[in-house]
Amino acid sequence: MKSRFDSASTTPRLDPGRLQAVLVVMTVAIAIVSLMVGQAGIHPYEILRILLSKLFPVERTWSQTIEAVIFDVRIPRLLAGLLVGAGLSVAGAAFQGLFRNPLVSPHILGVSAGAGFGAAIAILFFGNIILVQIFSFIFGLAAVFCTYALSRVYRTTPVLMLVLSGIIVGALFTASTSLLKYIADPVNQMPSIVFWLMGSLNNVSNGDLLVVGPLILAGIAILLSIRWRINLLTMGEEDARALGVNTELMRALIILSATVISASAVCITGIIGWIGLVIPHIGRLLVGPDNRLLLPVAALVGASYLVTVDTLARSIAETEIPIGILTAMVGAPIFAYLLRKNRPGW
Amino acid sequence: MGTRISLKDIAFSYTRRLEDAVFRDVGFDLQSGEVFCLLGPNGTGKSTLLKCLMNILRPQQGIIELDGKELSTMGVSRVAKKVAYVPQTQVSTFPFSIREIVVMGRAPHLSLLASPSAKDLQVASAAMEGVGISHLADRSCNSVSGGEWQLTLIARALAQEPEILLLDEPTSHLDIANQMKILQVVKRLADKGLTILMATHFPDHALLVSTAVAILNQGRLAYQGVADEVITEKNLRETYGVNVKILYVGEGVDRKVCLFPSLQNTRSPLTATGG
Repeated sequence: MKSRFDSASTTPRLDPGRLQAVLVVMTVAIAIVSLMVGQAGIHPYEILRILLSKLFPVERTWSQTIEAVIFDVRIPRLLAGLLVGAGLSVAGAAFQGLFRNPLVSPHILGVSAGAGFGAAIAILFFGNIILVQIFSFIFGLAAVFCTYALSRVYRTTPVLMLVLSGIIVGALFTASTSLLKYIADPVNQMPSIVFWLMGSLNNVSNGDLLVVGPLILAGIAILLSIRWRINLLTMGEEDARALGVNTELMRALIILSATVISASAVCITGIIGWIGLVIPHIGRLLVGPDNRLLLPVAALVGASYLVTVDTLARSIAETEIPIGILTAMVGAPIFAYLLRKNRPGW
Repeated sequence: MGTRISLKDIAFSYTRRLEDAVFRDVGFDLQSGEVFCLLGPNGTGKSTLLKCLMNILRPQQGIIELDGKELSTMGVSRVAKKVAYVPQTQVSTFPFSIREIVVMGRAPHLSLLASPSAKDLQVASAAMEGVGISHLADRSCNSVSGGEWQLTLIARALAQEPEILLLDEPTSHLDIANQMKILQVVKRLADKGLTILMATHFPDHALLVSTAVAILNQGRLAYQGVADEVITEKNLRETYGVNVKILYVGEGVDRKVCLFPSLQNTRSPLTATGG
């Protein structure tokens, strides 16, 4: 068990308080930049004035259309990016602790496979965007419920059975989605299913945010409030019980919160992979494994990362690039670089 | 204080069927201030029994009482305020610092939403000091040695501020210096008034620190009493199927020791019925 790593200490490289302050400033800066970038070609100064006009009397020199672009397109899109990025990262970090495995993502229990299937059904049979969202949300929750119920059938190690049940349920839903793609009309329906599965922040409206935003925020709030106890779960089921932790309650709380976050995120943005898996690692490289620091840091890093990638997705090419592709294409090299540089001890 | 933990006719089975029971009809009392050593061959259920005493596992039969109150009616957190458990645990998946691991012992005293306060960190520091690992506080848990990890788990248990300490083979896998270090810590804690129950593979360790010994063999509690009466050549032969010698050694040792005969002997140390 002697040190395999150069640095035996886990003391974070930066003062955690200062780091969090830096991350907050960074997130706000990225959000402002993101609002100013876009195809409509509005001058940043004008955007600033449009924003301020909601608070102060500012002389109106812009058209109704431009104001609509800001308030009905860019702001909901920005808020969705912040919420989904933070939510998936926090859910991923909590799941990695619960399952004691740094390779786990929020999708491990089948939520995205179920949501994808639900969306495909709605696209195939109704073709209505509201129903696509409702179906993906409900099927996302239903898939995790199936996983949870299936894991209770077996009597051994609950956490291991949950992962295996998640793989089983996920495989069934993924195969069913493939079947729906196969029978879908190849001109209209199939591309919509494929695009939906690749994820995008393009279609988020203020109305979506009013419904889904509070759900994601509630999930994040619950996970943040129990974050020290997630440390205890990483010691394993029996150790945690010996330390007086009600492990069934903790497990149920974490799964419920993370699932509500993921299902809410998926139903407005489609499937955005990679964030929930990798942002917690980047957080651990910054502040170490203590979830008291890790969860808030992961939330900030995840929020700024998704907004950055989304800004790139809608500005680097003539047509928008699906964000699910970019999150991995931008994130993978960054992650490889950080791993090489920091050599974490897990 | 008298009896702290009392077991009456306990049976436990992982399949929930009594035919498959790991052990049955196990009963003994853990008295206040005792150092109670539980011996027995591999796989006889010593760890399982300790887990039953922590409410981690529920026995199918019998009653366990903690200070006269039935254990099965108590939540894990109430048990953990009085009884701490030092498991045989692998190092954590994540590189927590030793301090972060030890402060986890404060969990039973904190509410669901709380994080450890400055006072909790003080208790953790005192616990680390108590077992002599203060210098490791900021080290990553996967950079410490086996002995240091075992002391970390004991410090975590002490951070619970328990009255009773259960240890599951705390000296296994350790070199002789670390074995002695752990036994000294156990002795010192007992002198401070902690009641201790320790499962161990080493009859010698029971001879060194115990005030009471029980031997679990083939699903039954075969013997119990004081070390001198329980750890005998005959009982060890019946339990483990080995011929050992128990001798009193003076000359700076001043105690009974448990010895294996030379392997060169014509008679194998394993008995005919052995194993």
